[in-house]
Amino acid sequence: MNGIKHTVGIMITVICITILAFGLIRLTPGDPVLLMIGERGSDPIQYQKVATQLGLDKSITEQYQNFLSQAVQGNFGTSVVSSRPVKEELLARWPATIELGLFAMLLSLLIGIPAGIIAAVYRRRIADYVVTISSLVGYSMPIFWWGLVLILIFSVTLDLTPVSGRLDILYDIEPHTGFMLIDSLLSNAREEYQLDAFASALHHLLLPGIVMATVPIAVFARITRSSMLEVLSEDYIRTARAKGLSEFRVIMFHAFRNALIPIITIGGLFFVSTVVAGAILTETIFGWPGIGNYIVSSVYARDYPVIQACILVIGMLVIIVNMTTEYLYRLVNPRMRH
Amino acid sequence: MKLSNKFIQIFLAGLLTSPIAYASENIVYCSEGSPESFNPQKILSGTGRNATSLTIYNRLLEFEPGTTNVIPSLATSWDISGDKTEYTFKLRKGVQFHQTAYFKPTREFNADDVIFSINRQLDLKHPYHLVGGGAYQYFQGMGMHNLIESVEKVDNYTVKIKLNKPEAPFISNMAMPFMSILSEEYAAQLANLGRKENIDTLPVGTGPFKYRRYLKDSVIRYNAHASYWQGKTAIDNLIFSITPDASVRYQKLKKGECDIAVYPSPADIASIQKNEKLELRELDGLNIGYLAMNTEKPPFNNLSVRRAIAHALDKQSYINAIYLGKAKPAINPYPSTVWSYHEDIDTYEYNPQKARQLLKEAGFDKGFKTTLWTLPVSRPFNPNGRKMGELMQQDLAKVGIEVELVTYDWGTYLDKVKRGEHDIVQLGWTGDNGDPDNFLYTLFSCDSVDRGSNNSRYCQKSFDSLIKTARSESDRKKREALYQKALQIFSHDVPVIPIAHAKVYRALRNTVSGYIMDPFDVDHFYNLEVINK
Amino acid sequence: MSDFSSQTQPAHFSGNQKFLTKVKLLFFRNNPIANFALVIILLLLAIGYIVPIILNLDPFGTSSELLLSPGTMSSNEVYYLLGTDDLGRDLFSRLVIGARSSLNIGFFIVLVSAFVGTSMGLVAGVYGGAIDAFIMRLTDVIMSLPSILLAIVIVAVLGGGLVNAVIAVIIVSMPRYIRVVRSVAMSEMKKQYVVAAQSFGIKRFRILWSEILPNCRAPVIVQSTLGFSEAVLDIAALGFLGLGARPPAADWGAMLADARTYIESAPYLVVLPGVCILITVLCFNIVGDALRDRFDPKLGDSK
Repeated sequence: MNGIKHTVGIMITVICITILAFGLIRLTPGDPVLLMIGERGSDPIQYQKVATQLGLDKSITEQYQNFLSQAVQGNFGTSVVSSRPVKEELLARWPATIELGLFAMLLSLLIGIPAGIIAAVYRRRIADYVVTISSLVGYSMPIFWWGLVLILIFSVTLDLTPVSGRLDILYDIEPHTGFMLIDSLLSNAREEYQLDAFASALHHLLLPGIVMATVPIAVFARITRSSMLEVLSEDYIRTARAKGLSEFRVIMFHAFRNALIPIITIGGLFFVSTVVAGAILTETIFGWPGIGNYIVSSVYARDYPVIQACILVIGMLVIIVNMTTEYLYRLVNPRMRH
Repeated sequence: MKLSNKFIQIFLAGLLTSPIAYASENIVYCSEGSPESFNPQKILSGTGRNATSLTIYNRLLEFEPGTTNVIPSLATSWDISGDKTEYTFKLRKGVQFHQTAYFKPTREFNADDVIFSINRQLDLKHPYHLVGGGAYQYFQGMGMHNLIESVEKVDNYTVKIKLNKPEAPFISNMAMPFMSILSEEYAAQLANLGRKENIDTLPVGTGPFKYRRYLKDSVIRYNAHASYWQGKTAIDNLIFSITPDASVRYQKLKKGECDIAVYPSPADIASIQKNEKLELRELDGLNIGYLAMNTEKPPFNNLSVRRAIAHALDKQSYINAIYLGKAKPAINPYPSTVWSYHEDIDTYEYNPQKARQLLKEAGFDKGFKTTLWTLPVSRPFNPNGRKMGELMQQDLAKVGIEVELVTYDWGTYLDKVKRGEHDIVQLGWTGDNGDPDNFLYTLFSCDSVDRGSNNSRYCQKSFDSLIKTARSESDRKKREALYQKALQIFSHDVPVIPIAHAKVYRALRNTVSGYIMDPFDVDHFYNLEVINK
Repeated sequence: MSDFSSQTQPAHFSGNQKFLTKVKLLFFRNNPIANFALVIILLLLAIGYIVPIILNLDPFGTSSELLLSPGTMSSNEVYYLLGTDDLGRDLFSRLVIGARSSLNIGFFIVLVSAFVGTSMGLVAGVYGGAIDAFIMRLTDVIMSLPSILLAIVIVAVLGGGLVNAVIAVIIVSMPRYIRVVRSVAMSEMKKQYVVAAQSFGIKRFRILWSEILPNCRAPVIVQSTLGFSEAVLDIAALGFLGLGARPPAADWGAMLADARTYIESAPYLVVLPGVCILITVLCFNIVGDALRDRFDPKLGDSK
């Protein structure tokens, strides 16, 4: 019963998102055709052509139906800027964003969770204050500024990291998967070349990865800390300690395992929106050729088909991830059903 | 354990050392954006021209690098019929198309390629016309679809183009990027495979470089075309590193991550000049930033008011603050790199007193209120419309003209200007083919009032007939005389106030030689060499 | 936790003592970090609203002789505390005016979104049914897109500029109020006294006004504080992307975007506006957290 209601709710949300995406081009002020042609085009023939290309000559409902049926097939029209299918444009840029996003997630788990555990274990001691305060700072960080500061320190002043890009320009790697770390190892070059290219790809990931991971690290540290604190005060931990188990075992195998559920849930709910939100700002700063950068430049260029597609794809992705996380959470924790 | 050690080594290697250069002679060019397409027929931007027409393709005629002169390229010579409507081109023999991973040419360049390349854009029923949307904005924007009547093959190495009417700038137009020659054989092969759209993404041309690979928003790779008809280039690989941010391009240049950087930021220019390893090149751009007054509306239909405003503006202060000194004050509507530039005309020096005097004569003792539209986007001819607007506002206030600054987003702005809703508006133009007609006809002819590109909506009969006559005249001397007369009328009437011609810059590492600055603001890669490596 | 209810203390204190009690009320017990943050916020308010009155600040006046000059100096009887920017404008003036505008914008966004969000949450929670479903779908849609993306999209539709950016941020920050108020309202509606009141025929609107609204005060205050920092951050991000306040407006985000070009030649132009954003956001977050702990200790880390 509840399940059906829930599903209907999700369906309606999905429909609303499609309407939002579709409505975009009609809500904008100014003439979309002129937006595209600029100071160079005032020729009526050219004008008509672009208008037809955008489907602006049909009725709204017709346009919406058309839009939906095409979108379901993964067909989001053609980019105004490149006159290539939007689908292709997005597919070409996803791997860069996913690679960066996964790297940032990895960093945030590897740093955030241990920091949270340490803070909980050494509660009200220096380590706890350091973690608590730095996670507050990280959580409040304007990452677009943080990225610039890191570039200023590590690239401009210390010359330790590259300024932008995904791979040193001299490595000519054929794209198989679009993931530089994988493609570099798959390339049919000498092993030394492969490893150098791999190192270069990793090197390029470092700064943007740190910037993108800043907020998630803080979030994971905070969640881990509070979730661990709760678990550590439970009876069975006292029992375990009383049994004479080593403190490390108690913390890792008894406490942490039980603290993991909220960490995973919140992490899951957090993932897509952090990756996308982080990607928009991080990629802009580091010239990272991914989706975030593409969204921003599409907004500047008023490439509406691209913006529409991004809203749709990201909206759906968030909904799917949220549903999956919720489902998993209920499986693990039956008490949540109500 | 061993594996992790290796990993750490790799990681540290990545951190501490810059990667070893593997290939031999590379030039890395830091460009400011991605090309819209790999077909120059579908390209409007300068970025796109560099990535296609100047690397992969040739045209029948080309602009001599560094000038606006037209020279033979794939055509060796041309004849013009007596009535100036038939152009016969003799084609070059022995020109090879690129051999790439996706295409092996079996024949050399001939008339079929020329006919294919033009007809794709001209003929609405051409099998390739609608491939990729069917919009050929530049071809149509230059009015070629109304001008060319037909393209005929006389023999394998002779092509005849018939025009509907005589038009002198046609020869210059033939050298423009959209007149690049594509391979007809490749097109036929793609049509057989049912992959016509590849013609715009996997390009095949006759130019000095062939396409190798493109990673979106990131890198374009080219290899030298070994059997290029002018001989192979000195470099083996050309790499475009797409870097939209000017300060990042400069940082990369300093670190040696690129050899040539386009459009260095004015802020970095001083430090580039100081750096011994770098070299700064500059040239007057083929552009004009101007302030147009709507001559259809009072009070701007009053000549004295227009002249007063021209005297009220301190151009030099705009050049210092907005272009950071990297521009030349303008008096003509085009820069001195365009032939028929004329200095013997009325000029309007900065003189607020005279301006006030002129306003008094026009009956505006107490000044008036109006709006000034500021450019919402950064353009080569005006990097910061808003800031310039604020300075203009101060200047005009000094002579009693109270100005409200207005702006819209770019599309709305152009739309409203096109419909003539503005009072005073900032706009500009970048030349397409170096012909004065490209400026005067587009921006100031009576025809252009309706087309919307005449922002001052200036339509003066004697001026109009002069530029129209010059348009169909093919003798350059006679045209020059006509344009000089037209410019005198123009400067007398001041429908727009020319502000500045922005300079264009490139920053190079001193290991690069053979770089030629070009007034069209494009880059030539053929003559590049790497020295003292 | 008794801090809030202590307002109903006997009223025979002298005026001075009353004032002191009120000041004490502002601060937190056993939370020096939050108190420190609170002091900084008060300082920020003073800088943003009082300094421009005392000092004659000129954030727009350009000086062509003093482009990108760092450090303290004076020229032509103008005193530059933190140097000048690319047009020779006084950086200190711009930062202070930027503070005022950030605070104004933050307060405005919080006021509007809290008001609209609370009203919608109350209506959804009290009346339920179709109207509840509609409001909840709306929040679902808003929340299914990352806030900065949705804000960018809204700005893309409405066009850039500060007003449109503020509208965008108001829209994306509404769900937090709707959700929290709705859940309070729903749990109150189930309580016996409300059910009883309803059975006596008291109108739902009166219940809403007199019983439920007061219960929403604490969570809405917490959300407003946290929402304030998010609003400042989002507006700065939009300004940075060139979609918010436009130059020459003294907006921290837009200043940062302008300064990017000078990251080498004038790093202080990059560093200072960012520090201002960080401090503002951080302090409001700390205070927001502390307030949440005060109102609902279960939610925070058990003190």
